[in-house]
Amino acid sequence: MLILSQSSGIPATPGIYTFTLKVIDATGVSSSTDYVWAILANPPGNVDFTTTGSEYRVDGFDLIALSMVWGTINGSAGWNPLADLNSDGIINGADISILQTNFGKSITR
Amino acid sequence: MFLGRINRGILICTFVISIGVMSLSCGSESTKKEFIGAGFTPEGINCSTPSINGVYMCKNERLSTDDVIAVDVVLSSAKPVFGIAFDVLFDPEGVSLSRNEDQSIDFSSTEERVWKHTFVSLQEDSYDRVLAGASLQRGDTSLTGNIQVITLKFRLSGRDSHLTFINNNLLDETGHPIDAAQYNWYGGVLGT
Repeated sequence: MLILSQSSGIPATPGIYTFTLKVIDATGVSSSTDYVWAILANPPGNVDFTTTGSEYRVDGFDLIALSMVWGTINGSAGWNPLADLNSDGIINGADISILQTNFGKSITR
Repeated sequence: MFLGRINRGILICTFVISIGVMSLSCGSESTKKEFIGAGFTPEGINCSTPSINGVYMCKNERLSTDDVIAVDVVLSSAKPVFGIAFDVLFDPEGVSLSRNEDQSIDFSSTEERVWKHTFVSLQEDSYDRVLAGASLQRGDTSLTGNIQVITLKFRLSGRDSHLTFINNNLLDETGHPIDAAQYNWYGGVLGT
């Protein structure tokens, strides 16, 4: 018999979230695995939301942040899930195209 | 009779000279018109001898026309630069952004394609703020020296307008800002 540990809360703010799946069997032996999940801004493109002035819009700082991880794939060094704007596991022209479409737009959180 | 011929000669000469002067006058007017119109005055920098470690604006004569003023944004940096991001504020009562037939913003990126991506847009719900960014890609060698970033194009529609950099930064390949205090950003004035 497996018992899932209690989980609560649904992240709504864009960002990178780590959640842990923990299971305990009938004998009390437990195992856990961490998962990373990215909540993208709406519209997608606000890759860098820590730089002052860039927090609430898609701009040049986001372009640079995406370009810095260009060509990376999910799980590789430097992977930034916030730059994976179409959630296909690779940062490439499809993501830059989405960013270009939304360049200049304000984002909601 | 002889005097009459002289008088006629003088009259003809005067007429010919008058025509000539008028022609010259018209010629100089039409020539002058080609140079009348919009201009751009950089502030705080001489475009022919820009200082190192700065971002500045200079008029692009080749891409400017009677109606459109093209302004180059040029980066001069001793430190390696991976990307540049900035806003340009302008007076919408005085100038407007030049647009293509499809209403997209008319701008030029560098002819040499030194940057991998260059984007320009008006900020949403704003009429006086252009957002711009230029970036290399992961694995590229960062840039030093004098590098043209982008050419913005404006149409004068009224009074003169300052072009002012704001919210700007240069980033190195690690994504860290290059010491902004060591870099000056120079705008300018669009006007007649």
